[in-house]
Amino acid sequence: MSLRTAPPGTLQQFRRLAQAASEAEDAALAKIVAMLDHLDHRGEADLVLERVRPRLRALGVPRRLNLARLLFLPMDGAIRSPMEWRRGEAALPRSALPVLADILLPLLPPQAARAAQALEGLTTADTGAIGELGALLWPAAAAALPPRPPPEWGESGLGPADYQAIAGLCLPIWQAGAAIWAALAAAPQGPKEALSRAALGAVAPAGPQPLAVVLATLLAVAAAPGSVAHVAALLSPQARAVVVQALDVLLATPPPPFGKLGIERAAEAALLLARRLDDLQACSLLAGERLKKLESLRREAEEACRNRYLEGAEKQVVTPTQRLLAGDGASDEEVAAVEAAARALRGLEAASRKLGGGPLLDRGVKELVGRLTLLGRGATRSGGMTPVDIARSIEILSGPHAALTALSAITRP
Amino acid sequence: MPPSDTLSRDVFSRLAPFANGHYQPVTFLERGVTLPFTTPNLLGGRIRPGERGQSDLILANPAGVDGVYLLPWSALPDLCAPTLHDRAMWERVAKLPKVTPRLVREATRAVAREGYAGRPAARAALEAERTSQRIRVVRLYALLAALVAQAAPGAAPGAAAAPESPQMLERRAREVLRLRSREDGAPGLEAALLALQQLAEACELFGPGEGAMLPRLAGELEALARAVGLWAAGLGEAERAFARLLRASADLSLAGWRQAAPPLEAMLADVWGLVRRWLAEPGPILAQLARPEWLLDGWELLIALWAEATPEKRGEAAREMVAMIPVVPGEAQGLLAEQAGIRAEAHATLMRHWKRSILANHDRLTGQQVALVARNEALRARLP
Repeated sequence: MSLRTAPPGTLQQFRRLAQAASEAEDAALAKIVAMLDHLDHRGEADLVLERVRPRLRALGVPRRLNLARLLFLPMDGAIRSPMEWRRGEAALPRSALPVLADILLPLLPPQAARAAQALEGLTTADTGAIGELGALLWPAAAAALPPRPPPEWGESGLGPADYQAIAGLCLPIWQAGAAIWAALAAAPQGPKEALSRAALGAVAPAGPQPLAVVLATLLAVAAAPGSVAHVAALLSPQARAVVVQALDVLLATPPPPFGKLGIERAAEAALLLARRLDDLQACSLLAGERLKKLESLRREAEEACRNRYLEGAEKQVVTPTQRLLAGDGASDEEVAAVEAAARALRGLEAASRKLGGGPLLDRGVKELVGRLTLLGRGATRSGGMTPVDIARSIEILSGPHAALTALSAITRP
Repeated sequence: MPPSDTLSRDVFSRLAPFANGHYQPVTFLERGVTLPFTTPNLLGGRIRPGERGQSDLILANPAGVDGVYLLPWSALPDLCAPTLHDRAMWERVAKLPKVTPRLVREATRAVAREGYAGRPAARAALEAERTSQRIRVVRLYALLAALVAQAAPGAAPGAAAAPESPQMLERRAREVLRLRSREDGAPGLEAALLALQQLAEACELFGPGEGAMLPRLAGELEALARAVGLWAAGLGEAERAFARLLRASADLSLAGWRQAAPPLEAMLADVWGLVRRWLAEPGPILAQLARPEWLLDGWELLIALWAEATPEKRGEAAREMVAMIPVVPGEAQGLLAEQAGIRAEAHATLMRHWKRSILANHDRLTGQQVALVARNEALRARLP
């Protein structure tokens, strides 16, 4: 089923699902995505994913593996929605991926075809299996890629010239697939310079466009993007221009949507971003305006994190505390939920501090403690939240000293 | 500036003047009593009587290596920012007239009941108190039954009485005591009944009837040593060395337990003799009853740490446990010299293996402080 053929009722359903997905909590969103990933041809279902793609990236939701997803993992950072894709840029339109995979599947040699079948049941979290199966499938796909567009290419909605350009990107990248994947799999640890050099060096001779695609993919996930960029810039004099362009794109990329992530995930994303920004800050390729952009990105991220903290504190600590104080009783589970939220917030606060903005965070935490202390002074109903319950929330959010002071203020006659 | 609530290099520098690398207590009192701290820096800390009426705080080396730090009890808030729970416990324990496992348990349970370590720990403490009260009643009736059985013509010492109603048992026990009171120098009925009530309280953890905590703890310790052995069997030399150390240390404590238990059972079998001796001088009986508590003190925390650790976290748990394995004092080592030799050797081997891994994992201790406090509060709920 495709967008053009979908009945109006189905489209409405997908729009509703898209709305639900954008409002869903992290775990619910993961379930929606898993359901959509099981469709053989997603077609218009991509509408649902398009709105939540940045959040999906930040959540790191494991995606179902199929041939198309595995083949294009080494190019993941350069895949665009068909609306955003522009001819001539070092990028691939998403609509081309399933069509290319369908073209290649019958052309694969038996061993690679068996490897494609073995993808069933795997997800993008199975990095070891991806490495093993990809080592067979990427070179096999490169060897099987038809030199001219076959008739099925028309299903992508793209022209014959687009095929040549896209195949020209895919060919060298698939040939170097194993080296690229080794670097991508090690991205949370940097990756190490040797891995980056092997991955980027394998595609650099094919020209600036394949290098740009792989570089964009690595930069998007590397814990140390500055180091990756540095390695790339040293590959050749031409590579430097590609690197600078890739860094400009990176600096123009908005921070993860902290406001739409759960608190724990927002904290993890903030920690990773802080590490990435620190690494970029130390990168000698960035100076002047680019450093200013980096600072601006850091401020934007810190503010988003702080806002997420304050919003989370309001919704998951202050409001439930008010409710539990006003009600007839507070069950152990309800108090435990407030404490769990406070712990998650403490993690987010610590991560936000790594992005900067300490004094503003201090003020936010202090105000929060003040509000909880005031609420605690009204903690008189038996069976409800006790002064010690509230002091414990403060202890989790701001430490034992603040809790001791608050408890003394709460229990003072 | 207030002390940091994270385990930083700062803590090491604050602790440095108190280092005592050759810690080998001679007596159980010198070893101290384990406290259920929730502050990560303080986990496994002990209290013992110090000089000039002040208590000492004994802390395992936070780096997990051999040796301890001995601090004045009053220095605790200067060392780190203790949790609300630990501060309340610190204040309450400081007021104890003397340091014994029982008094410390009662004081720390009272703190937990107030909710400072969270509601699950408060509930567990409340439940433990109720259980204590129930067991004291069980003990009293078991003592009365033994008293009656002892007085029955032809009854073997310690023979259990046939089941009967509490009222009937009380009536028969009073009869026995009335007859016994006619003996030369024997206590009167009311004094003997009061003594039995006090003995029932003293025998709460080890005595006739169900629910004895110490035999259960000994069983759990044996199970811990076995579980750690199984876990380590398929792992590296460091883990196997840890399991050997734990096994050897547990065997020492269990050997002590096996030595201490039979005389206690014999003592409790002669209830009338016990009543008379109690009224004459309760101190020696209390000391004998307390000995297994001192022997097994500290193991509950390790059992809880292991139970709380998920399979993938057991390596981390082992790294924490190694510094907290109770040191057997010299007075008990005299009785168990052979095993003590094995232990010392195993300990030295283990420390060589674990020192490196502890230091390599130092970052785990400096981060995630809030999560560690939550974990320690979960331990607190397991140690009511």
